[in-house]
Amino acid sequence: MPEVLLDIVDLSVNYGPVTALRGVSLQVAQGEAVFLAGPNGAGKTTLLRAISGLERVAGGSVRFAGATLHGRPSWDIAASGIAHVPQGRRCFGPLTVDENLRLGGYTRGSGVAEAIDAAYDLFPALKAKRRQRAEELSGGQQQMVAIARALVANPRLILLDEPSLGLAPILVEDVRVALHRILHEFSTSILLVEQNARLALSTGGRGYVLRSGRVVLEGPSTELEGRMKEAYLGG
Amino acid sequence: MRYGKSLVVLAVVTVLMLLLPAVGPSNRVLSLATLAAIYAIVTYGIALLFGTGGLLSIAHGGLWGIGAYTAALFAVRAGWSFLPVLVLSVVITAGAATLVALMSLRVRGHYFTIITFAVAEGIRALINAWTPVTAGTEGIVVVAPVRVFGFDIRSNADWYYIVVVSLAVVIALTRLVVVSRFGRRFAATRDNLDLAASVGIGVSRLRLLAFSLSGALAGLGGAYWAYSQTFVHGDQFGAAASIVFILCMLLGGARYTYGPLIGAVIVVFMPPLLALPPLLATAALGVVFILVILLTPGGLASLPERLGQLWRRWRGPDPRPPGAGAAGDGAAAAVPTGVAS
Amino acid sequence: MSIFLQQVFNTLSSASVYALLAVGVTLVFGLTRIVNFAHGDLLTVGSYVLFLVAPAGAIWFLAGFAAAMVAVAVLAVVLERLLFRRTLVAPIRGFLVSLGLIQIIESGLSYFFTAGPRTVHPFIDRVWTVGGVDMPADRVVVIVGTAAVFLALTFYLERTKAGLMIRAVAIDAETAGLMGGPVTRTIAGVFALGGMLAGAGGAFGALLAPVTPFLGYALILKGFAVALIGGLGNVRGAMLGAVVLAALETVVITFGLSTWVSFFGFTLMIVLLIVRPRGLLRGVEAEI
Repeated sequence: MPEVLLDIVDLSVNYGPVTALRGVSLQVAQGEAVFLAGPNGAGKTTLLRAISGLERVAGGSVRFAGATLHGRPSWDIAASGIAHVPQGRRCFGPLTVDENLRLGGYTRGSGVAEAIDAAYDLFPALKAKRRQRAEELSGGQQQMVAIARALVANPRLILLDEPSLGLAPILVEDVRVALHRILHEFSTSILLVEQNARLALSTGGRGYVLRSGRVVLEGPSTELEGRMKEAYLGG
Repeated sequence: MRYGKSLVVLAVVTVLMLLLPAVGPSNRVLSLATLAAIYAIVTYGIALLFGTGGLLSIAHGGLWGIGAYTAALFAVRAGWSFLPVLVLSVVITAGAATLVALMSLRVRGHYFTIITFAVAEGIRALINAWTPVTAGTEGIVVVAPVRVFGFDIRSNADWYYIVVVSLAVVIALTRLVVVSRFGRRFAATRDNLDLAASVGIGVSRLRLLAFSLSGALAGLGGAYWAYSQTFVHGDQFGAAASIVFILCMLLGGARYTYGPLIGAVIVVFMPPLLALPPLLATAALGVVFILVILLTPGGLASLPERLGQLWRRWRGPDPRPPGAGAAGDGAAAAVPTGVAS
Repeated sequence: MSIFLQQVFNTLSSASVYALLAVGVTLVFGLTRIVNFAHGDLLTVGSYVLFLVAPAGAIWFLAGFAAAMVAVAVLAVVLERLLFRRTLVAPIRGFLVSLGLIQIIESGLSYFFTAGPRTVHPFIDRVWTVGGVDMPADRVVVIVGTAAVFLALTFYLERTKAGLMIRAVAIDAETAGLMGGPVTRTIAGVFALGGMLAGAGGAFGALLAPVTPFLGYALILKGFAVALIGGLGNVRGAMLGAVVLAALETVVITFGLSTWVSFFGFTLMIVLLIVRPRGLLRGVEAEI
């Protein structure tokens, strides 16, 4: 078993009186791809946001490469080597593609230009649009910008929140290829929230299924494939 | 509290207030008390909008100037008698408030408050510039004989009685409005405008009505100001006056029956008690204003309630779920989010 | 023709001060949604710092100018830390806090420095005449100096990493945090930036006209109108809006309506807020 990179123990998050996550434990090992599945409102996005410091942690702990993350502001967490591709892409619309990627490299002292070149190699379609404002790009291209922006930070772990949402099937395939290359060429670990079961399972790692703020299933993707249907439909 | 019961309380409070001249206060104290009652009348109008409907208006510091100038012009230049002038001031100011509402309620939140600010300052600028009518920056001396129901109103105590009785009527009226069907529907617009509209509440009409009602109170307060101060000037009105009223409201608590009254008494009596030079008194007012905004969102009238909560928390087990608020107090939580994506 | 050019010259010099004020207002609003009406008083504080530091002479003016920029920037950061940071969750409270600040700063200034108008010794005491246009040297200094300040600001916002992060926080603070941008420090930095501009505006303003403790209140209304014309949050818009307002004022005064200037100003402000809350140019989304 390789070194545990992200270690979440008994995590709880509340939205006012509503409990969004209760007692969630989850691990991501170095070089591993882990996916999170579950119905809408299960708490998948909340879990990613809690890891990144965007949600207040009510109980439990989040540790990353041995350091405690919970309670620290989002920018500290980003600087510690976690990049978050948020739901809905959240590109800086009025800024150019280039500027978006430079922001991705904000925490790096050097090597930003090389990292941006490497990101353009991964998504060649973006290179031609580097001087355009991000809001002028198509939804699929904006998703590429959001992923590329995260990669420029040279993170050890990348959190992806529904990268295939609203994309045409052919673009979903692009995302799948990109994830594969991120895992193997950039040797970055992945924690992926994905409704698209095929995309989720194709990463080949382990998975967790959330429902109503709890982990109801976990295991290797090969085992989860059959049982996920029950989990979605059951109870 | 049921409305009937609160009327009894109000009657007792009013009688107590009316006893003040009998204990032989100095003229200064009496005129300050009159001033506090006038401030309270205007503040009840602002509190109706803010406490019930969640609308923060800065326009009232200008609107009450319309009431004051209406009174000054018709009492001095046209020689109208007191009661018709009072009614006219109320009606004209209510009308002006309705116009302001028609303009400013087209935008929401932040922008609404800023528009009302511009209205207050615009009224001040209009008074100062419109010399043929308002005498511009010279102001108007208001000296007119006042008779009410056969009594000559001359002394400070006479004015005090009139203003306090009016204040009692204002409190009863605003209470009635708050507990009425209208008030409950108006309160529904505070929490969720779209939801209120979707269940068939005529949001615009409710807000227009509430605004003109609160404008009427500003007009009443303005007319009393003109008569009791015997001098009106454009610079008495505007956003600076609004700050004073908002301070009265926030100090006392907008949602409490006696909040505006308590706030007005503190605001009027505090500077003389502190015996500060006028400039430092103004600065102290600013300091108190900021502290109130940052520290006591509910106002002083909410203190018993809040102390009660603290007491229960100290006595009994913590009602909050374990661990709540313990961790993750990151500065990120204080940052406005979700701007444009 | 020379009368027209003279008006243009006068317009530009008063536009300089409006722009220095309005760009600070618009920057702070862009990142915090706080409309800080005490910003005009920051400018006045800058003027008074200049009066304290610069008794006479050009060298003293430069020292006073630098001192005004630094002192007002420090003051702005202190106000952010003590007050405005606590109002970020409800920006309307920040607006109210700024109204309280106006009372404190203006009555404080007149308590310590008296309410009377003050002037500063001229920087260059002569008038240049070019093509029939009388150009007091100090007004030229103000116009050129403001242009230099804005060149530096534009370079900072468009070409540096910190400037890029300021723009990112203005667009989407949460995502900027995910990029590793220190959001709270960036906001404090923007208050400092706005304070520096206000300090410069206060020093330049003192070269143009006498200053009283209550000038800030009159100025902020114009500064805010300028920010509105340009679109709240839009820096270039504010620079342009300053020229538009100054030109309008020149016209109104030329027609002998000077007592009505402020009434027209408020009417313009109300109309703008109702019709185009995002400004004539594009401002930030009207988040409310």
